[in-house]
Amino acid sequence: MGNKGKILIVDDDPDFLKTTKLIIESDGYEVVTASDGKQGLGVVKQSKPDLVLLDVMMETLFEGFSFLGTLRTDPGFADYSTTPILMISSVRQDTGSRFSFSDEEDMGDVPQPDDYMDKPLKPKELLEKLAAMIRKSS
Amino acid sequence: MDPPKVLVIDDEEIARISCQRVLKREGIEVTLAGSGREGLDILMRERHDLVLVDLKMPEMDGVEVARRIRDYDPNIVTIIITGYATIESAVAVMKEGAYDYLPKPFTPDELIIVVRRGLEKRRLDQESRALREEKEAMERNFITMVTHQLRSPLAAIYQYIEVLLSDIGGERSGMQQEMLERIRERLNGLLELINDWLDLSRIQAGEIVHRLQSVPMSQCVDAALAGLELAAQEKQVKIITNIPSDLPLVQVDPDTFREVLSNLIANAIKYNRPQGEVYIRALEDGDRVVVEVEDTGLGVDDKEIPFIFDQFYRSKAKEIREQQGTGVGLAIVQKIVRAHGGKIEVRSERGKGSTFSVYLNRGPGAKTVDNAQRFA
Repeated sequence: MGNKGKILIVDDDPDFLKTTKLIIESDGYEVVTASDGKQGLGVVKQSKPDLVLLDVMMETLFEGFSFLGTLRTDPGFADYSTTPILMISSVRQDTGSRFSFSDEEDMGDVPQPDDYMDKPLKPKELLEKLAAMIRKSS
Repeated sequence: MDPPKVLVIDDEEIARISCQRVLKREGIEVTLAGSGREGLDILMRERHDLVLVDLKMPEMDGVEVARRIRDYDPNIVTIIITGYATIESAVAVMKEGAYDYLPKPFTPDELIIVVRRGLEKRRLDQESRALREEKEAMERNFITMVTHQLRSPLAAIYQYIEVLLSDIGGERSGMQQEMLERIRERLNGLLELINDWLDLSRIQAGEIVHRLQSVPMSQCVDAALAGLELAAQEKQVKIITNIPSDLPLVQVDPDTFREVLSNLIANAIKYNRPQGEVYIRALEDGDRVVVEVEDTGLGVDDKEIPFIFDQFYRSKAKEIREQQGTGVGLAIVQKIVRAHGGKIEVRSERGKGSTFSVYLNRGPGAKTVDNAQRFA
C-alpha cells in the first residue's frame, strides 16, 4: 500500500473517517486523517498529501471553506496551493444556493474546491473520482 | 403586559381632554397632541398602538396624518374622528389606511367600543405576525435539523454498509450478504424520503418567480428525460414525445421545472405496465401552454384523485404500494407548478392509465424572439 499517493481526509465524523479510510486504502493509497480544519492544516505540512478529501460541515458550517481558503491563498501554504481538494458534504448538492458551488454570485470570491461529492460515498464512485483528480493534477 | 397606548391628535383641547378622560378610565395610556405635526413627532419617538385623529385640522389634516402614519408604520391602527357632514371624506381616509372612523358627536361608550375594536385588531395583527415569524423560523430550523441531525447519521450508516458490501470489509456468508442488501435498500428509501422532503421545504414560491425565464418546452422535456432512459429501458416502456416546433416559449425556472417533468415522467414509467407507453405532448391553450404526460399503466381510482397531491399520501391500491415511493413526489410537483403561477390537473382510469396536464404561462412576446434565436 501507499505507492499510489497520499490522501488526507478531514472530517469531524469518526465513522466517516473510518469507512472512507477503508475504502481509499483498499485501492492502494496511503491515508492520513484529521478531525478538524486546524489539525488538517498541520497534517498538510507534516505529511504533504497529494489530495485532500474535505468535509464541508465540520463544527461550524464554514470550517471546511475556511480550510479551503487557507490552503489556496495563505502564503504559508504556497507549496500546497494547487493540491487538489475534493469537497464532501452530507447536504445534497442542490439543497440550496448556499452550497451550490456553481453559483458564482452567492459564493463570491470564496475559493472553489476542484470537485465535490455527496455523502454517503459509494466506494466505486469515490475511487474513480480520486483516480481522475490525481491523474489530472500530476 | 403593558397597558395599550393611544395617541389623540385633535386641535380642540376640549375634545382631546374628554377622550383622555374616557380612555384612562379603561386602563389605556393616553398621549395628547394638538396638531398633526406634533402627533407624528410623538409617534416617531414613542411606540403607540392606536391613533385617534381629527379629520378637520388647520395645517395638516387627518387625511395627511393617516397617510403619513401608514407610511411610517402600517401596523399602527388609525381611527378618524369626523363630523357628520364629512363621512364621505372619512371613507376616503380609510382608503388611505385608516382602520375605522368615529362620527362626532360621540358618547363615551361609542368611543370605547371603537378604540377597543381597534386595539383588538392591533393585538391580533401582532399575534399573527409573531406566529408567522415563529413558523418561518421553525421551518428554517427544521430544514437544518433534518439535514444535519437526520441525514448525516444515516449517511454514516449507509457508508458502513457500502464498505461491508464491497469486499473491503472482508467476506460475508450468503445470508449476511442478503441481509446487508436489505438494510441498504431500506436505508436508501429513508434517504430518498429525506431528500424529497428537503426539496419540498426549499421550494419557496417567491424565489421561483425571480428565476423565471422564457425557454422552449422541448428543452425542458429533454432535460427531464436525460436521467430517465435507464428506468424506461428496464421496464421496457416506450417514451413518445410530441412537442410542436412552433409552440410558444414557456415561463419557467428551468431547475425546478425539470423536477416537475422528471417526477411526472418517472411516475409514468414506474406505474406503467411492462412494455407500456408514455406520451409526452405539449399544446397551446390560449395564453397558456399545456404539457401532458400520459401513461398506459395502473391508473388511479376516482376516489383517490383528490388526495394524490397531498404530502405523504400513497395510493391504497396493492399494485401501486408494491413500488417503492415516498408519497412526496406529486406534492413537490404541485408546489412547484403553483409557484410558477400554473396549475396541474389529472385524468385517470383504473387499469387504463393516467394523464397529468400542467398549464404554464407563455413567455412574453419580445423576449420570445431573443430566446428562440439563442436556443435555436
